[in-house]
Amino acid sequence: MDKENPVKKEIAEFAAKVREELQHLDAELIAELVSDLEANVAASVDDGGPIPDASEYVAELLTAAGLDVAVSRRKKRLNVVHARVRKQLKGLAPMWWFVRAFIAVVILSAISSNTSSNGSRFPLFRIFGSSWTALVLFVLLLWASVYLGRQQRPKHTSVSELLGVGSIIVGLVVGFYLADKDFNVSRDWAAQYKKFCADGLQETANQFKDLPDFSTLPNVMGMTASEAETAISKWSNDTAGMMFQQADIKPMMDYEDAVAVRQDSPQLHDQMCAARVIIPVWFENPSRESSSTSLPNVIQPGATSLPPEDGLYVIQQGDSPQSIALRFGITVAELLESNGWETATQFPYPDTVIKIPAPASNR
Amino acid sequence: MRETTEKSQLLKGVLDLLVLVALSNADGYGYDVVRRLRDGGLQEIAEASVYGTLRRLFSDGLLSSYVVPSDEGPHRKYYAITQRGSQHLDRLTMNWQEFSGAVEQILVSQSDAHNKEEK
Repeated sequence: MDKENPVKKEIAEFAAKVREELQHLDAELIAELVSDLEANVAASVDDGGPIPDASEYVAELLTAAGLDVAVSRRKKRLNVVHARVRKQLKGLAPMWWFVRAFIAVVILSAISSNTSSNGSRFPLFRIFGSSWTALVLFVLLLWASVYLGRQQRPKHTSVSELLGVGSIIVGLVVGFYLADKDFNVSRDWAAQYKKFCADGLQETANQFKDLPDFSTLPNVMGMTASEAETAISKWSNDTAGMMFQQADIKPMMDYEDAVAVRQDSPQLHDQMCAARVIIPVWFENPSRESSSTSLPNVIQPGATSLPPEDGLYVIQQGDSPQSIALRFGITVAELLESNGWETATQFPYPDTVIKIPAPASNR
Repeated sequence: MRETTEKSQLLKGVLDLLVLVALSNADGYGYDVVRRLRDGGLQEIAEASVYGTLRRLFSDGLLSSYVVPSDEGPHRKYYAITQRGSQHLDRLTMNWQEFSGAVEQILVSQSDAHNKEEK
């Protein structure tokens, strides 16, 4: 017994080495090549033979079996690299769990943005007009993804567990960041329009209930200028239409203009909302091309991007020469020059009326 | 050591023949074949090369195999010669006899000449 055990152990070690050297081969082929491996060696040792060298044994075995030893060596090295890469990737698996959940939300966002009326812009992280829906869905999907991932791999090292926790934290941070960003820079015109018109709408809505409902027209949010003209002609002859025309409210008024109207006359704005005059047009309105790249933030009083018709502007709290120049698409020098200031320090206090020159591109 | 290497080089050329011969009368498992060849006087035969040869002959259809369960120890994979294997063995045997006969003849005639020169 004392004598047999070490030999058995040696044979087992030898067999393990042989199997390791053959690892690059097909599993079926390995099984064929080393069937009875231990028994054969044990029998040979019983007959007084030595335990052979594993590498030599494998080389003889492969040569006699008609398999290319050199090629399989190269393959073996490749396989070792493969195995290492696979191991590394396994460590990154939690990252992948996170990424796939995120991709799923992005895809769902794309699908839901297609089904909603606004097809011109693709919200990255927004489902049915809500970033919160997307975020909640993302958390659920992340949970499901991690759950599935862990079921596939019941054994996990502490490293991959750390990675998993890390990626969940990163996921939440990124998710909140994207959601927050999305709130500030809302690209969903339909939602913004509704929100914008929500206040005091009910009363005026009744007043204008005979007007055609633009929201029921096909693709109302992406209407072209001519389509809108046609639509507005249907109601331009009645009193409300006349009133809008008198107030120079255009059918293709964009969001920023609408904000300006609201500031000037809240009542008129409500009527506009009720009549659904504010047809968000970013790309269709040629005069708005310059402002189409800068997204409006949440409703911001006085945030117009074209110089006022009269070329005058009332300075608001927080304005600076730079911010005004940026807003109206002019340079600070132009602003200083048209107001006769020598330096930016002459910029006056809020509520002062200043001159806004036309942007260079319009001259 | 060098002698055995030289011999095993010679053996490589005739492994197919030897393995088929060893199985022509009775089926056997891997080490059976090795033992039969060693008992026949080929001590230096490398076991692994026999097993590799068995595998190749099997995948060429010259041998068939079956597993025999054993009460003590692991199951054994037995090899048997197929009809194609027998035909192949006949051909190899003929080739070998021609070849070894020629080698023998050359060796004899050369050593005869050598002896005559000495005298």
